[in-house]
Amino acid sequence: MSWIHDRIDATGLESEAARVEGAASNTAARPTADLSALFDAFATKLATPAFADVEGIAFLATWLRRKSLESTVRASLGGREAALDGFVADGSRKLRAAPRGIVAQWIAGNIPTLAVFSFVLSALVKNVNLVRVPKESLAVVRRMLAAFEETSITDASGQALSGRDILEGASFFYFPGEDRSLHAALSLRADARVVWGGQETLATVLALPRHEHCEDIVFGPKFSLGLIDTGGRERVVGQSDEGLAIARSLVRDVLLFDQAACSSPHILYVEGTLEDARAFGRALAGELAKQTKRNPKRGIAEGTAAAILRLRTDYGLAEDRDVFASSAVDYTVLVDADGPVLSEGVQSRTLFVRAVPSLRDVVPVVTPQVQTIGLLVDDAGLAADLAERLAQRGVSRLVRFGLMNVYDQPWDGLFACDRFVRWISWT
Amino acid sequence: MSIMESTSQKSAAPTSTDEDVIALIDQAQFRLDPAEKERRLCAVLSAQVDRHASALPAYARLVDRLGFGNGPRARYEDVPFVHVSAFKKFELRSVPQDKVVRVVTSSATTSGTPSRIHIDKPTSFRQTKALAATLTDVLGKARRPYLVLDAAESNAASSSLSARGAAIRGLLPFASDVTYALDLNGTTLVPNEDRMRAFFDKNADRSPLLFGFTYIVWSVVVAELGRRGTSFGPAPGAALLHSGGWKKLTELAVDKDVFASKVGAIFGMPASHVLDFYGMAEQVGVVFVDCTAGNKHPPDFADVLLRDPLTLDRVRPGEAGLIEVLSILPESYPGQALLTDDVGILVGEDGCACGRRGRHFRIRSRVAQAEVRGCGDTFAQKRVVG
Repeated sequence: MSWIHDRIDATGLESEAARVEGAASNTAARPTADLSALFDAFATKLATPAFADVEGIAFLATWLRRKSLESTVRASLGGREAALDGFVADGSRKLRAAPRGIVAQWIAGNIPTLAVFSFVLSALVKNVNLVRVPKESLAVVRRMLAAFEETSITDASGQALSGRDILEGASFFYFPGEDRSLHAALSLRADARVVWGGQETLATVLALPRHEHCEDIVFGPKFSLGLIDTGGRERVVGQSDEGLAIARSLVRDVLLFDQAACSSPHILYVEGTLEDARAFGRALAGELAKQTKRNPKRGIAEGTAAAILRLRTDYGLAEDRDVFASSAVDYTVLVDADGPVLSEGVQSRTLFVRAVPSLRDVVPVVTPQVQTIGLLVDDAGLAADLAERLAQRGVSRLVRFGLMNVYDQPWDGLFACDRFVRWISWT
Repeated sequence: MSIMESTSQKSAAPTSTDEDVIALIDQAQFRLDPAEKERRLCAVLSAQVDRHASALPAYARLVDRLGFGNGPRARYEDVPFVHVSAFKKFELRSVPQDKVVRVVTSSATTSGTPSRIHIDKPTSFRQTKALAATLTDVLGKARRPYLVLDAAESNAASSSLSARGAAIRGLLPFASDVTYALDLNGTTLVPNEDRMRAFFDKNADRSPLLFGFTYIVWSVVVAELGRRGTSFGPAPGAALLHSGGWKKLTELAVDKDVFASKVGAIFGMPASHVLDFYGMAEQVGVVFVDCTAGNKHPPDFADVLLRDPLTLDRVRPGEAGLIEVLSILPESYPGQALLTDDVGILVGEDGCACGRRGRHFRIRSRVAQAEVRGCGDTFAQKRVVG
């Protein structure tokens, strides 16, 4: 049985949708604890050298651990996770969280592991899934599904549960983006639609016909940044053990997913002067050099390399800027004092370190498209003020460095698992 | 940021490498052993880099900040490179303003902002000699009737000169007389069929030389004359050199063979006489013309380094890399090593079937722009490119 299809057509999609739909009742009947245990076993398989080449695999394997999944579900369902397995008391009534049914998913190409990640989110709350995988992620997804298929546990009643059983309720496939009829067919099979992607993908999918009851869960185009106040900057620049640890955490946020995730930082606003930003940039570059040595880049798109080399020249020539970079295109830190403006993220370990007189100046440029802001703000009053103002501007997450890419709840302003279920009350 | 930073008024000192530069231009081209060529060029390039760095603070900053150090620069990789787009944003001039005899501007087809390259007399002299040295190898020394597939206005006398104008002028040493094939009606280029027919009636059997910008040749000459069903010749000894604008033609799905075939049919010349050359406004005087084997060869006073996009190391034969053009011609601006957004394929380090020595390559395309996809699209409502 193949769970993944390199190029599906209308007949194939219809057949796969029918197969998946047929597995819905079995899927809905599985205890949540068994599902968590199975995915935990899957995580063990992914955390092996066989998958070491997959970008972001360590993060996925950690996230798939039982405790992590249980925490995700608990946070997402407001502590009512038992409602996934049956009605639970809620004051004078009872509540049940039932799967929505068929979840159609459009996966973005920026993170190779995203298809599996998104599938698990939905499957964990017992949905069946039709997942359109980007062409460039097919090979990685195929390998991961092969590992999942071979994963098995023995449940509390002594019965075996395997990845194969779960995959009876899932199909992964690719079809060309311009095939509007297949997009429409997929959309019309959905009880919920999940879209990860840029503006073009969102516009395409959201314009497709759908059933009235269909729920849309949209993870749209976002980018992320960091705010560093004077105290935080001085700690990093001072190179104390604590400062070095912060730099390590920040650089880990940069390296994970090669800065292609919506939660990856691209611009760090540093309170102070150009000289202050330069010192901070130099410290970060030192840490980037260390971590790049341990975790070298595997490749780079030509266009990205060209963009980085253009910026290196610009920042190398300019009197009021600076640049710290590896001799190869491994990492690049671009320092300026352009003030509270945004720059297009370049990705591939490229950071803008931008001096601003006050972090409060940055607030007006933050829009709902800013997903995560990494905060290194020692001044508690300032941090609280910024948090309140940034929340008003539309930011989704405020975290300390090291946690920017840690998938938690809420994400993009919503509790994902909550959106994957229908709540039923019984009074 | 001060985009246009003024240069130090300290002029580049008279070059101690002038003789080396001229010697490399004057000698019979394409006969140098590749290792020997790199050794000789690097010696000149090193001295030139130091001179630019002492005259131009911005360039000195770049050399320092990007870790190129003080040399010695024994390999092409050691020569500090400037991304060619910098000439759109910075006034990179290593000589005082009063020494500038001409400012060459690029066509600005991609970004909308032209590069501005400041040329002094020694640089201009070298460029003219260098272009002639390269093209002599391709066209021979005899002067030929010259049909410019452009309007005369493109080569108007001025202190500034477009890349088109510079290229048109570069071929004048090979011309016995010059005819402009197009008229400028307002802002529109229009073929003057009568003038072209008169040119071919008179010169078809005199091995005429034609030149035009690739996109203009295609979109104006081929499109209009093809529509009219016009053709000239036969002119079996004619040759057409063309350059620039491939990006637009690629978008129109026009490949080199189709281009050559259509142009050859209109002018009555073999398609094999339609020769594409690679060059840029930022390095006037350095051109890479297709050889009979279909490869491009750097002349002795220049070279190409095809860099791996990640490691920036030179690629091996058969591999693709970002094209960096090295040249010892520029004295008035730091154009010794210019990294482009073009990708080439290194065919070989030596031993091309055409008989020319040294590195030979082909142009593949502009860099493939990174496809911005996914939830990590770095889209900003108030987008400012840093």
